[in-house]
Amino acid sequence: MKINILQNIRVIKLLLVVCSVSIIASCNKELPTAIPIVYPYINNSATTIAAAINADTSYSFFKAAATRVGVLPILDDSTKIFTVFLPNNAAFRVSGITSIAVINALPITTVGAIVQYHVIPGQQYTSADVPTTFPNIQLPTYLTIGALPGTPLPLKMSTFPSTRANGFWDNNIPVLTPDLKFKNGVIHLVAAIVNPPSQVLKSAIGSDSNLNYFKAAIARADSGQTGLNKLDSLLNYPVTNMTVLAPSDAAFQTLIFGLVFQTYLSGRPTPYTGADTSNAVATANGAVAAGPIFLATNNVSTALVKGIMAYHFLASPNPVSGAIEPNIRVFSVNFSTTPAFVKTLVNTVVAAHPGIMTQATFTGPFVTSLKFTGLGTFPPGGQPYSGTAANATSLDNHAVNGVYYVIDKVLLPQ
Amino acid sequence: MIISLRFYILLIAANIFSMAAFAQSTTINGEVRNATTGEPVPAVSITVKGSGVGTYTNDKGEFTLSVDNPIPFTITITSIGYQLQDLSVTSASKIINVSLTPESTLGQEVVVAATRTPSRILESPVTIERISSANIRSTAAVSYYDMISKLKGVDVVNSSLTFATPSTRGFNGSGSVRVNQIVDGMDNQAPGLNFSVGSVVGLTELDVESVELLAGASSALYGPGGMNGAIIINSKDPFKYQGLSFQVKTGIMNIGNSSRDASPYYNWSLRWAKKVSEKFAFKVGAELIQAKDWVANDYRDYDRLSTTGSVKNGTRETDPNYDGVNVYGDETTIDIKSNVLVPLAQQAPFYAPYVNALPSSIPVSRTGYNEKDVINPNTVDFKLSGEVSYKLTQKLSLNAEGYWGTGNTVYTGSDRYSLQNLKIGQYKVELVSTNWFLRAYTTQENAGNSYNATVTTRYVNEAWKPSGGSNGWYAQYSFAFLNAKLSGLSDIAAHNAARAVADLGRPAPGSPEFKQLFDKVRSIPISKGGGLFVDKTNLYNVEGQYNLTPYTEKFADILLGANIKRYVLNSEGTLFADSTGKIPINEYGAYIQLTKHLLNDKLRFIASARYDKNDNFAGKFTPRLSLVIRVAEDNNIRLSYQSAYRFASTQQQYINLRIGANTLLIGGVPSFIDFYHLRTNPVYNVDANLFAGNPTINPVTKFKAESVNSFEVGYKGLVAKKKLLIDAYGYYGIYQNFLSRTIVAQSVNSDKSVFTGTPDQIKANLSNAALVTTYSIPVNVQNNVNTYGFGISLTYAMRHNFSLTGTASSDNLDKVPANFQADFNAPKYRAGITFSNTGFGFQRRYGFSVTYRWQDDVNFQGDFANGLIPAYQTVDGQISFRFPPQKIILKLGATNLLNQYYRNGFGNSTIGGIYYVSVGYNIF
Repeated sequence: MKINILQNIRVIKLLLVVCSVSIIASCNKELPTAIPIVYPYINNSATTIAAAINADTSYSFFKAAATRVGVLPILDDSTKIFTVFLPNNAAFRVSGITSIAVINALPITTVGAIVQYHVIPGQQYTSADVPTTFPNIQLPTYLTIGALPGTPLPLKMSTFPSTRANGFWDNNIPVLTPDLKFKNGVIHLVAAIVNPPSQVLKSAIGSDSNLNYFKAAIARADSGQTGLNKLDSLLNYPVTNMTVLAPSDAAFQTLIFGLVFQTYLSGRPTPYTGADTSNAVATANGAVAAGPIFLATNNVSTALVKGIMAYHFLASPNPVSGAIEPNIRVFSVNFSTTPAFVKTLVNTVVAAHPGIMTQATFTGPFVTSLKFTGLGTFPPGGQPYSGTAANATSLDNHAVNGVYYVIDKVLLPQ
Repeated sequence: MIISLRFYILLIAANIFSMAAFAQSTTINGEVRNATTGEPVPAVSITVKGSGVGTYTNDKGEFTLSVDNPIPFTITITSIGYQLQDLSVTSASKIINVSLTPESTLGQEVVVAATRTPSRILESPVTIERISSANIRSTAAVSYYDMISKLKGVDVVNSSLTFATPSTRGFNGSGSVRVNQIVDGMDNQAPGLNFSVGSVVGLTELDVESVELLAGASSALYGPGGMNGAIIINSKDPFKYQGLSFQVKTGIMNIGNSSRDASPYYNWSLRWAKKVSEKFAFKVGAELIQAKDWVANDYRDYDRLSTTGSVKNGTRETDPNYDGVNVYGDETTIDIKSNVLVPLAQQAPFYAPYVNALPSSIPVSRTGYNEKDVINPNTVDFKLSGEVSYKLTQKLSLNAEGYWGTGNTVYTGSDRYSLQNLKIGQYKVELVSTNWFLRAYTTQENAGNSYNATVTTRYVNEAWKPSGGSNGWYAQYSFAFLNAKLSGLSDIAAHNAARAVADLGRPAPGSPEFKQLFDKVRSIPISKGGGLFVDKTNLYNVEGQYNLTPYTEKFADILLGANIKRYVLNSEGTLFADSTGKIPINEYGAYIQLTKHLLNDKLRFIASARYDKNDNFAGKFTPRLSLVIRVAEDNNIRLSYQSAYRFASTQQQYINLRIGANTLLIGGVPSFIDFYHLRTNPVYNVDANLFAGNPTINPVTKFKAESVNSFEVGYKGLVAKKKLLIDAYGYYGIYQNFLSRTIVAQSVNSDKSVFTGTPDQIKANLSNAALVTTYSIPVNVQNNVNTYGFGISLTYAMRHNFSLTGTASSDNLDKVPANFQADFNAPKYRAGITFSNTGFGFQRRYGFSVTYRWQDDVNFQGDFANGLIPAYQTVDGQISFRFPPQKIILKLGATNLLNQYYRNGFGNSTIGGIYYVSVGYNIF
């Protein structure tokens, strides 16, 4: 048996060689595992928006404001993305804030609202991403104003950037330097502070001493209406976008004077005597002297007032249902430089109505003249849109739910 | 109850037959021992020369034989591995002591499968591999079934520890339907589930006498199905292999497994056979395997809806629409943009531009659970078998046999299936004569509590929190997503924040809450919104064969056979379209084989032909022609033309099952076309054209049986003084009407516009069940698919019983059409080397074997998932020691000795090492 085992030694050696070769050779590769998707930062930059704000001394006012309200660290978070309309120190000064001390003196809620209103969360909108379509794009800002009923969603104060061939604006504020790209978003330098609105149109209009007739006209137009069919309710409804052309008291007085004057004369046999004319003037002056209450009297019909009022609310078709709704917030800079027609609430009744003719005149990125022309003329009978245009005397009065313009003539839909 | 009744009937039958008796005159007794070691040799054949009367030695090497012949006469003593011996018997009273001299078995084995008649393996007309009980004794593999995968040219796909699917020459998958597996004459394909159950139910290891593997096309003799081979497993005759045997294997596995702690492996098996008289013998066997299964843990992200599914980059944290390969429940996906956010923006128009600026589609999948959390880790496999055999005359026996198995295992089909308490029984009665047999058997299948892991987990998610509804998971997710965006988060950060909100309170994997929910869902049938599939499909088969050779041998050897098969599909509407009642399918077949010996047996020409007809398919004729040329003694060249075909599986005919991601898997019989209006409301191919916006209509043509024609040349011979066995082959195969599946999409509202838009939008529509139904329909591939390959093995028998074997083989697809999903799944190359000794050292008591195997990478394609299987290598080894007086063999073994985890099927379990000790008693 010994011999046998010795004879086997050679074979055993061979076995050992085979084993060790196998073992050395038999190294399988590691099994493949899941590979995470790598999401690059939105821009090729190592600097966050906050770092950029920190670094540039011309942003020190905004930095102070953002620091004070705790927003700066948020703008440093590279898991987030922001679009920031940044007012630099010059822009603050344009808006009347001349030093950091002024900022620090403001109530913190005011500062917080201002800072947050300049920030669009979660998405980067470069100037190229903002459409040129009329009037603008509605985007939520970082400023929360409540909760969306029935959902866990917040209600955000909206901002309305727009672009045209001649510029880029946030609301009505021009962007001076667009598209400064950073690791977590983009900065657009704006010419002035883009102020967040703080009240609804109803309150804003309500406190405007030049719009007493307008308020009375609203009240008359609303008689017999309920809910959001009431213009007053609409003006008080926070989650809508309206553009209201509010004729001044003088404009209404002019219209009332003319209406009463003409009504008086139309009751007299022709040819009119001098007494007729002086009586007509006296009656018309009396009607004007009666003040806005005149609009509540039987001297004018509800239908007439309602029709005229509807013509002062800009509107457009609902993108889903197609129904005409007061759903656009048109800043002065959004109006065309060439005459352009915009629908109004009149189109809810007269679908084919051409609307109001609008035209803006720019000086640089600012609108210096804004005109609205109604279809009807006074006295009646003129060619459509042949009457004198109404000039906007107070532009871009921004409220939570819209913007209003004070105009110097009442526009007539027919 | 049914089982015990069957056995009872069989036992009664056996008793009746045992009353018959026939006269005998001389009785001789003897004992056979190994000339080298002096050990008794069991199962040695003792036959009286010229009469055919014979017996076998028992487990002590003793034999008793009663013969009519007067003394003197000659007995022939034969046993594989020993030199044949003739002895003259001159006295009846004297104990005959036989001393058998061991000899090399190289090339001496006899195989039956190749021609259905016994012939030397060297002279086989087609490529054949054989595993003998001696090979099983000395293998390192933990189960004999695993040994099949080590044969040359064989690929195996392991769905799990106990679920292995071997195949040859490509087209393998988990549960391959293209290999016939025949155990003791019974086709052991599960008639409803369609996979062969050999590794789960079937012979116990101690009862296997031989496994024969025919590579390639082989349905000429074994009927439809054998496109890629036939595995014929034969059990041990209770007359020949007697006594009590048992084997206890205890091991450890899952070592170093990232997904599971190290766990024990148990395999106990038992066999007891007794020859009660010269006419009556019986055997019983049992085997129990218990272990914690391997884990399928491929957590890569899977792109299911691309034209051909593939892995993509992504993790749960970085892909909101993550769909992990072995993560389930995350197949549920919707586009939250179009389904939730856009409708929300219509309600809240001030958010509309912001929402519109988000990506055009935002597909989000629900959070899934890993496979290890949803599939029972306990693998149990319990097999029970028994046979009674009664010799009506010396040449005619009546056998009744039953195999029954139950267990838990995991199988990969269209999804991963946890087979729980699967029960399969096969019962057979046969009359076997020297020249003919008549056999009837049935396969009784019961899927037990088996469930689809994907479907069940998706429903678990729904049961916990419904996907839809105003406060459903997707509504919560979408609101939280928008909320997170409005706080400034980037998309991916917002997704993760949203998921955390929607998943708040989600049952943690492994928690009692999860288990309770899961158990509830998996016990509800799929047809009623759960994950359970009920399958009680049965198969009945009657067949016979007659060997006419004694009457025709002057002309040729002629063999005739025929069979009738009947499937009865019964899934209660959970798997098949059988909600209104069981579906029967009948199949008929007949075959003939002629063998002509020419030129003094230097040429052997064999022609076989088979005809089969299935209720749902036209009749099919398959010929086989082969020629064996004996170039020298023990050196043969073989040439063959073989063909095979396969009727679509019962599932391909009648399945009606919702799987994975909303796809409805349907059968190909015409009634589906009408029921789902596949032609009146056209279905479109989900392919590159569809995503490009040019959908093409799939005409849903009637499906046919697939077939393959294969040409093969081979050589098998003994050279170098009969010490080197060479086996080599090369083949070319042409597949026609290849049966595959394709995904088609149908608009729910007959509105083709759902297939227009951006690719993302089309993808989103495809996964929106309200708009599009996707079907997986069986199709015949129009183009021919050609394959070719070769294999070679060299076995060198060295001195002192050492043996060295090397194998190499290659399988290839030829001229594949572009973008064609062939499910070929064979590596281009594979090779192996085995060094072993079945007995060396002191009294040849030591044994060992070490096997190294390597295979190339495979671009694996299957119904479940497609992806690359990297090349891998394994080393298996064992050393053994025998205690002959006690008939005990001790073995120390390991498979995947280096514990290098690998997968051999995409989406399947990761396999590591098993280290075991086994103690066997009376292992033949």
